[in-house]
Amino acid sequence: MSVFDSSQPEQHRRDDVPERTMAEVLALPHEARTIVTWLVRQREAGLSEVAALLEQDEATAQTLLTDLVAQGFVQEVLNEGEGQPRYRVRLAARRGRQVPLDL
Amino acid sequence: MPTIISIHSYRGGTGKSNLTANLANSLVQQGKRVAVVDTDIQAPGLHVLFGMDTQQMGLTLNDYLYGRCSIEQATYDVTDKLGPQVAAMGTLYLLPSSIKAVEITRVLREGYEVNLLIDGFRKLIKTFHLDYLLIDTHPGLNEETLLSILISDILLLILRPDQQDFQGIAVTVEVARKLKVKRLLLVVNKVLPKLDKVSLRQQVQTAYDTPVASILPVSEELIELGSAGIFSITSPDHPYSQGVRELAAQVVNSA
Repeated sequence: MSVFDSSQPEQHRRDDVPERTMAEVLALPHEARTIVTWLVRQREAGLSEVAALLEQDEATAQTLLTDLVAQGFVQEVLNEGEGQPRYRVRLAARRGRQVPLDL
Repeated sequence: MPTIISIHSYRGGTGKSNLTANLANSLVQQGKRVAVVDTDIQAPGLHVLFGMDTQQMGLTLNDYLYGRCSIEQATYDVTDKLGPQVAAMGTLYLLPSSIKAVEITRVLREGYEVNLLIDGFRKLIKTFHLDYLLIDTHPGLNEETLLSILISDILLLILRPDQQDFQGIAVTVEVARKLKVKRLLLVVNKVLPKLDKVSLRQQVQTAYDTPVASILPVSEELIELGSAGIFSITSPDHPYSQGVRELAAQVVNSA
């Protein structure tokens, strides 16, 4: 979804948890990293799709996703007309650096 | 299925932008719809190879990232830069980065929304019905290059036969594997004629457990051209151009 798209889904932001960087994604354990890297490529996915990716049951996938949401790597997204939340990676904006203003 | 290819190197000066432009030319010659994106926002240069000067350059990737235009508005059809013969075969788009000091320092100072970049790439692929999106990255490992690596279907890692490059590529290959890149290919560039290419290929493949897609020779003629054009157009029979065509064929076959 870009700034030029008119409809924005409701995103459940965790403002108390900082957004995560790619470097932090690298440090995740294998299974969690599998979910996050796959979600970046997919843009977003539902619980059943994540469970299929992991070849695990939905309860196991839900536990992993809940943990990733709590850590700030993933956010729940509620699309209009869909009862179940979908999941999207929550990446931090690229941070700026100290650069002289008169450059 | 559209294919995203990141062209990356651990160190600068490996010939990344030249390879990106020449690979794009080879893919267009195969009838493909291709876009090249200069994500080396800190040191852009890809536009030079396509003969785009500062006066011609209007909207850029920077404008898109700061919400001043859509990504389509910052993308230029540069097919005619490949010459009339190639232009009849496929289509080439270029999304340049700004070369204005104020824009470069703004990126350094303020950063930008990473998700916007990913969304923009998706939109480009859809709007222009692309077969290939080539991303020319900033050398080394940082947040942007990690992201480019992650969203790629194919990661082309360029190295020279140089001990510093060898060490750097080892790190990059390890990171690419952690990010579960679908297809990883190495390109050894600027190889001296006296080196045994078969032996070099075997050594590099074994060292990184990764296929070497092409070994490209160091070329005085390419240096002489000095980014004033696309070498495989001006010198199509040169071994460098042949190597790039072989690489393009592998990319097409592995996509």
